[in-house]
Amino acid sequence: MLLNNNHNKFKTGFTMVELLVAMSLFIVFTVIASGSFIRALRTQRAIVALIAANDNANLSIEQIAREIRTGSNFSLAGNDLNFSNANNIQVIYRLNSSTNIIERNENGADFKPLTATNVRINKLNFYLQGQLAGDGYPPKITIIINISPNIPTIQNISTNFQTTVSARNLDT
Amino acid sequence: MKKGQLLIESGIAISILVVGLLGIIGLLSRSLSLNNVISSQYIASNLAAEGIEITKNLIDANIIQAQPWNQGIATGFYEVAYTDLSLEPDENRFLLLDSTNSTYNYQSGQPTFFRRVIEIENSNPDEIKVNSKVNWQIRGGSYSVNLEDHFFNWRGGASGGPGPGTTHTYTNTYNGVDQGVSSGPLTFDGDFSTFMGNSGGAQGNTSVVTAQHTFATPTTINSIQYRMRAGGHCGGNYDKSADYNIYVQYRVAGVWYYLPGSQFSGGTGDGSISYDTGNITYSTPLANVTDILAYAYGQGHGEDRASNGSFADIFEINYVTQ
Repeated sequence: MLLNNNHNKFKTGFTMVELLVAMSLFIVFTVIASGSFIRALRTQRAIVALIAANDNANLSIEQIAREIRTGSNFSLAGNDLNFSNANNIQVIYRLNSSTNIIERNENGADFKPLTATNVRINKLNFYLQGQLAGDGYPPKITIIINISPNIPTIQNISTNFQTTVSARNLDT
Repeated sequence: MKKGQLLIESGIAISILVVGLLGIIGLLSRSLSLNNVISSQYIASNLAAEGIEITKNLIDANIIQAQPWNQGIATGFYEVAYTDLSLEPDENRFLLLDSTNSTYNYQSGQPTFFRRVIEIENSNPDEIKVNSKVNWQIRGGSYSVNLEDHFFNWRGGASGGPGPGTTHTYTNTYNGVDQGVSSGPLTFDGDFSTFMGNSGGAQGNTSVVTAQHTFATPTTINSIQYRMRAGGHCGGNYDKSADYNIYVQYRVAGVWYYLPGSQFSGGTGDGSISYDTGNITYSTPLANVTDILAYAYGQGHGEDRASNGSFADIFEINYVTQ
């Protein structure tokens, strides 16, 4: 009998107030949850872009520095670095100012991109010292890269890298 | 089922959900801040590598300038910027970032949180140990990058360091055969009567004497005195030609220059010939001289017989420094 009584009590259903409270609570929590989930996705995208910026900058600095170290006959045309590498190939490193990508070229062939499209190179500067024969110093090239992720909302986060390389070839 | 059980259940469920979401958000914000640390580590490693490379540049510059390979690179703590041509004593300064040309330097720009110190250890004259350390603090943590490189004197340049640090090299050949030091002590001692050495004799036909003096550091020379002699002769009815070549050179920044008025050369086909420079003083100051070289050459072209000969003598070569 007691069981039956309980059963009958549930059959009466929810009141309107209960339903409203339950639904509004559900909506509030859904909004909060989905909002934070979207935010989390966005943050994750930003993190990936920032990691990509670091990786691209480090890779291009490493590649340029290694080639400079064994190179010779350095010269600057504007901000483009021109030299012969260890295999006597004429190499140019430059910043393509319309695509904001570092480009490299061999013996006057087409420029090939060095950095990815998901990063934006704001600056690629070279400072040349000791490049003249008879100045008493080996060539010393300072490389400066200013890089930011290529996502409009976080493009203002830029990182400035600098390193200097001394060419091992003493003759020039 | 008791009253309120549903509320408790849903409360627990929601709190588990919230804890999970907080975990995700916490992870993301932590990785965002760690990204900042990582990017500072990238910058710091490149700055540390720059310190090593600048030191290597200065070592190679010593080689080019024909100075002792470790000159100016003594044991100690230094700071150096990308434009510097020497190591400066460490002042524990922060590197500045100049926003106009984007360079890290010590002259202009906003202070960064990077401090770089170059530690040199040159206890062995043929090995230089360089540690380029970059220290910084970010987000409450202290970080540091320490790059170490060892450079060796494989090019065989002269070593500086303690002691007088000057070296003399002296060659004396007769018909291409090294005669060793023929007589007299080899000193550039300012004493005008020192007999530097000679070469020559009755047999054969070429005599060469060179004497080179290398300074430990580039030196300003006020005057140079020298007295040399060279020539050749032959007798009889054979080829009687002979010639001589005498000069004094000095080296600045790796380039040899003739001391003005010190070149004497000539020859004749008429029997014996000799040239004596006598006492000559050149008294115009010469800056940053690293070496002084005296060269005397004499040749008699006649056939190899008892009356043919050649001689080359450097009686003295002296200098007066500032």
